[in-house]
Amino acid sequence: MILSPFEYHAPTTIDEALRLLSDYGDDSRILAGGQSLIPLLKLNLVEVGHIVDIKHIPELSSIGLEADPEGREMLRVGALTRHSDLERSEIVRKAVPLLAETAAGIGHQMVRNRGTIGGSLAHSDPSADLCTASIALDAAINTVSAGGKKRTVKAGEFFEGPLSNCLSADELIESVTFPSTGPGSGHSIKKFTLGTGDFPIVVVCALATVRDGRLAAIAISIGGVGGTPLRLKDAEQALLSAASPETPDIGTITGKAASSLVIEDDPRVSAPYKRKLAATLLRRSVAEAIGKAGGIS
Amino acid sequence: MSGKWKRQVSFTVNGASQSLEADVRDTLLDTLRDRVGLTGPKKGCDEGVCGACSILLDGRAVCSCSMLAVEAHGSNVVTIEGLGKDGEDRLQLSFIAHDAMQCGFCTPGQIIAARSFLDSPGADLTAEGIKNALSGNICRCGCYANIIEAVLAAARSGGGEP
Ligand SMILES: Cc1cc2nc3c(=O)[nH]c(=O)nc-3n(C[C@H](O)[C@H](O)[C@H](O)COP(=O)(O)OP(=O)(O)OC[C@H]3O[C@@H](n4cnc5c(N)ncnc54)[C@H](O)[C@@H]3O)c2cc1C
Ligand code: FES
Ligand code: FES
Repeated sequence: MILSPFEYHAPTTIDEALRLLSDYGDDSRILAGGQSLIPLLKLNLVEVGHIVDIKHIPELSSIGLEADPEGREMLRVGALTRHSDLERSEIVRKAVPLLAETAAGIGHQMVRNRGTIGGSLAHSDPSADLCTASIALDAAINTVSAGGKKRTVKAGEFFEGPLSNCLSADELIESVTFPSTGPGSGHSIKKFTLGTGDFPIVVVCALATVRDGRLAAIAISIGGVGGTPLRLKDAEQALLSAASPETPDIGTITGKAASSLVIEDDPRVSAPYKRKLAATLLRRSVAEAIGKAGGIS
Repeated sequence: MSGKWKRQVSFTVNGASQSLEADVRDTLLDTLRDRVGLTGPKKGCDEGVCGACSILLDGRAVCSCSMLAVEAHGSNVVTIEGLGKDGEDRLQLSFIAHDAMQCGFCTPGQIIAARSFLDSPGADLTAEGIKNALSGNICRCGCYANIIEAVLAAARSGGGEP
């Protein structure tokens, strides 16, 4: 039961939603899939006078391909795209398979049928699957705020700490864009949860491109070990410049990355255990991504 | 409380139009149980983790405890009471045939989640696929083996269509 009273608004346009958010500021909250916000309201962890339900704004739920200024194919998904939409969309599965696979592994069916990508990014849980994947995928978060002011923030610069990010109270995520990963690339998401459907304790994403039998690009991100999901640039660089490019020592490089992480105890598992999880998941996902990309010969 | 704290909610429940004034804080689960009189959806955890409150919202299974009644305005809601009103729902019959319940508390949610899964395009109709689809539906009596058998049998006999 929710105790604290609020007024419910269901705007049908972005302008109307932005007006409500700027009128009520910190006393308002956007409601998307509600899979994080409704529990927070029940626990009185969020108490606001105004709830702005954005689900009646049709522009926020589209999925499509477009070209960026350099002509590269980009996937754009509206903020209201549900996890189950990402999971099922042929366009998403083809253009950015890691995104579809990530969505398919979130929580359980009922959560996926309601939770949205905009909500997941805005909630900014450091172990959330989509937050971690968006960093490996070089996603761009497109927002709009009062007066129609638009900006684009790279996923790597969006998160600021546990449940915190660079959005202001009157700012709304409109859509998220992902570069298509296409042929020649391989992806992997690996995580450890206490039970099926639970939030991950540690989650790792890897995206590799192999050209002519050599590793041409790699992106690695990890969630659940710090205040925000992290990109592991040092490990990426080490893999790309390995002394023997034919057989980079994945285990040693990912092991080193895991040992340099700053990890705090978690009520569920100890820090040393988490570090071991990180090492194992990193090794497995990097190996899998490279393998799926065609392998190094 | 009245005025701005209340909202008229009009939606379809099990094929019939419903219109009622709801406190905006009320969950859909409480509204279905206490106002509409449908006690098929159960309150297990009230926080989205047990699946006992599952209903179909525009054809997809969702936890009715994790949404406000006002969010259902204009939607089509189906509860366990709306499936196989004539007693001919293949999934329900399959649950009976396979003894897929003991106390029955989780059963409405299990069947709703299974229905949503069987109706979703490209569903992986294997035991593994079913386990994944029903992972959000906890059964305290531990009837999982029979539940999976029941859903598999319904899937094999035509996607569980009534
Ligand atoms: C049982 C359960 C298991 C779960 N398991 C997982 C899991 O394994 N992995 C995982 O990653 N997640 C998991 N989740 C979380 C789930 O993915 C949520 O759906 C998601 O974090 C929030 O999305 P939402 O659309 O429901 O957002 P809401 O709950 O509606 O909103 C969350 C926050 O985002 C803000 N917000 C929403 N949309 C926007 C927008 N467009 N612009 C700006 N701000 C916005 C809201 O104001 C609020 O602060 C789980 C949730 C539950 C209940
Ligand atoms: S009562 Fe809704 S999920 Fe448990
Ligand atoms: S039959 Fe008792 S909880 Fe499932």
